[in-house]
Amino acid sequence: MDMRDKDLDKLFQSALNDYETEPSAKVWTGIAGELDAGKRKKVWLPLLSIAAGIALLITAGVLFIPKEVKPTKPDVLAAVKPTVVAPQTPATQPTVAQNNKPANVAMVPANNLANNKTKTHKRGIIKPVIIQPAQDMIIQDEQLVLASAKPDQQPIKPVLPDMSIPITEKHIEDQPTMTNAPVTASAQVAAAKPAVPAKKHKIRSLGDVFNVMIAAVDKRKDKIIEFSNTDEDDATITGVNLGIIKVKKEK
Amino acid sequence: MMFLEPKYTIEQLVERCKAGERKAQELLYKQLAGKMLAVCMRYATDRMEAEDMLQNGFIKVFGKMADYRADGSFEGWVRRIMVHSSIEYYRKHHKMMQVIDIHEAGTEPSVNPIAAANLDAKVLMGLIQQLAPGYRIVFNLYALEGYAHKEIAEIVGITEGASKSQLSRARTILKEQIAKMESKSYGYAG
Repeated sequence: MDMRDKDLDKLFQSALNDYETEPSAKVWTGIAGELDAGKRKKVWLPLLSIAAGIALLITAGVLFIPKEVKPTKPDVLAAVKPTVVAPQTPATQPTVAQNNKPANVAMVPANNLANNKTKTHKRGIIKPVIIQPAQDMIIQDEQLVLASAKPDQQPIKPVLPDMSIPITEKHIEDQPTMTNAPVTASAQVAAAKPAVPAKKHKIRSLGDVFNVMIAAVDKRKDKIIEFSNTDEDDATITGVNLGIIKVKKEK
Repeated sequence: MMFLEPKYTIEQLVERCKAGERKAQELLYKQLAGKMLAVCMRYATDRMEAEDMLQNGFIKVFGKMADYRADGSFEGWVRRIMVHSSIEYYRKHHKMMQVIDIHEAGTEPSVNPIAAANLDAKVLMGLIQQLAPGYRIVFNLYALEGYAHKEIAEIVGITEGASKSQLSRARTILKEQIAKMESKSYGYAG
């Protein structure tokens, strides 16, 4: 006689559905332990989330601090330019005191020179100062780098477009001006550097010009950016110091 | 010991458990543990595995207690959790749910239903535990829990066809085992 599938199922159902067998004591111990652990987790969870929040804020703060430092770069430009421009002003111009602002214009934008300059002279000196730092902050940096990459050819080039405009500044940017007194003034500021004093009377390349300007602002041993100062070299970057990141080319 | 503690109904204990009362949880556990371990053992290879499943299941029961609505039997609700907890255990510990069938489907073994009725629960439990996990789970869900193949397919994560064929293979193997025992006992008796 064969057993049908249904009978087989019923056989197991009737035998096993009411079947009971007591578990060992460790099962309840395990359950109770797990439930306690769950409670403990619930207590710690809010504390952990608070701690995590604080940690996040601190991390975010640390990450953003370097960015807040950046705004000093416009200062770098502002402070730096006077050194270059200064030689011109004492000689001829009566507007010496105001020079900060035109200086900005002269230095920064290779492309905007023509436009900006005319504007600044006619309308007022204040405008360009306000506009440029905010928008061009980053661009200015790039331009510096670009300028440093090109310099082999002639540092004077960027000045050429100005020729059409009646400003005497450009002529002064040439090398002779560098050796003038004004430079030494800036060099004195940067005297803290060990390397600078040697350089200050021998500015042989565009890189040196930048180095002196940067030294005036950045008093650290390793400047925020350093350029090579040999004649043959173009103004190649030999060192960068962003606080956290330091790169320096050994000489 | 039992007489020292007042007897609570399951409903009373459930309410106290929802409030997180540890003593009530323990009493509820003691009332149901024996039955639920029997359920888990059908899905397990041995008692140790079954106790692991039972422990996991009860932790879930107490964790989900707030979800329980009194619209069905509490025991049935716990039992469903045990079944799912057991299957989940297999998913974690035995990666291969799909069974490679070594046996070729041979002729239906001949089983005497009257003689089989004498087999006791422990023996039958042993037969189920000897099945490969895939067969065991499908047979349990279909024959003992009353799920349809479509539901089994969803729970286990196999196709409906696979559920049917695994059930069929499980039944054949169980019949073979029962037939073997019968022939042994007859031979022994005769």
